[in-house]
Amino acid sequence: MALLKKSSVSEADILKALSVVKDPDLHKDIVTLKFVQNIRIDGGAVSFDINLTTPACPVKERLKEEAEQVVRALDGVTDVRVNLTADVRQHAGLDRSTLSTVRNIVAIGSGKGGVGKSTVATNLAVGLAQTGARVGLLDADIYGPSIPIMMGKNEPVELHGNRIRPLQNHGIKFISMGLFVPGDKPLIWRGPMAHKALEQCLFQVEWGELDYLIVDLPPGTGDVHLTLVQSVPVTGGVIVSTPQDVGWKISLKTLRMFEQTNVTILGIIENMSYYICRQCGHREYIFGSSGALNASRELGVPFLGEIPIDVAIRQYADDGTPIIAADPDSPSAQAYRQILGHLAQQISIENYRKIPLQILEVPA
Amino acid sequence: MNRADRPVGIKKIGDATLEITWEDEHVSRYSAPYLRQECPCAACVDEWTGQRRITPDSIASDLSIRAVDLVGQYALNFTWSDGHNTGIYSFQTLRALCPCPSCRA
Repeated sequence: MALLKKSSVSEADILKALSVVKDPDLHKDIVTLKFVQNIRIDGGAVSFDINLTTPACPVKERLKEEAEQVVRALDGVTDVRVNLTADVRQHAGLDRSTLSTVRNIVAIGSGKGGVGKSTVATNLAVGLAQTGARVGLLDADIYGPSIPIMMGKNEPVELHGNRIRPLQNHGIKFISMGLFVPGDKPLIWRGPMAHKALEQCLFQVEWGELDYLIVDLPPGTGDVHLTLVQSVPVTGGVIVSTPQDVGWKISLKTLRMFEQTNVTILGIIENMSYYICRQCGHREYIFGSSGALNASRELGVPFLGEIPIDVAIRQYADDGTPIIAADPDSPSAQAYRQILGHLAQQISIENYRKIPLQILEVPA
Repeated sequence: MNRADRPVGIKKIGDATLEITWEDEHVSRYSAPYLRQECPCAACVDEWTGQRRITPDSIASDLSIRAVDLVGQYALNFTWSDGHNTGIYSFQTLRALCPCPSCRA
């Protein structure tokens, strides 16, 4: 006589078991957060999805393992299959804006020029796309639009009626204010023109569905920044600094500008933090160490990480393939990946925290 | 941005009143003519001297709000019944303008 088949596990048992698995960023368990979906029970075999808030989640493997373990420990479970999925949540207010197909807009700024802001923006954008996210990159640096060179595509934009088709390369869509003018001609624009050009890049470009639209701002504070924060609900701002300008407190001005316009600071990235000797691998902190880390602690904003001075980063950028795509295993690419993981986390936290602001109309 | 400058609720009550509930639970109620008089735009305030260019008696007492919109996440923009619409009122400004007796004191 065949053994009586053990009564199989129920969906409620599984959910109860999974409610001990916590998302370390949102400080809630994955059941309460409604991350657990599509539970299938076939005798002792259980499968379910964990639907994360970003494919770039740096702790996703840990969550998966933990979830597998607690379910495997249940009576009657012989096999567990966890499927990781991701659905990047939309920032409050964007759904009602002209950019309703974009989930998040992230502004990358710096206190001054020459800190490597565009190189950082490009690598983060391409890196986010490598995790499976849909990414757009808008080069709004009217003074030195360099992204077409770093992205390896510098061709005039195509107009379709009044719509602009973005360029595509390395897995992302991008547009640059520099594509509207020939390479050697300077952009001598007064405020209203910069304003108009940014609006075009935001609203007339066929961005389609995007999880992240990264906007590379001009250095400092000015017209383009104001236009951006006035035209769309920005998820948050990122400050790129070097140990030098952190010391000089120049980055602080950009940070205050974000604050004044109610844009959350997602974090500070320190670029050119240290030099790795090609001969012996020694890390030399040319400008002193931990400047941005200490500043971010003082200011109470997240520190997203540091990036070395690396000849290879510059070379690959000049050749039109960001290092994160050209040499993904290099220490610099790894530094970028760590940072974009932290950034994606901060975006998820912000979207979880933010209550959408809207104006109610009621009779007197 | 300070907690006191962060709105959690914005209500347009009827045609001529705006109410903002702030994160610190304070509630501000503004009349349309009062806000119109305090318009911070360059046409209403001299950019150099900071002097107000409009006088209270130039504003109709029955002035109303034709439309109110969010500006990004930091300010409100009104279109008044007199057609004026260039003022961007940051939440900081609005909080400072709260007309309640305890804020005026």
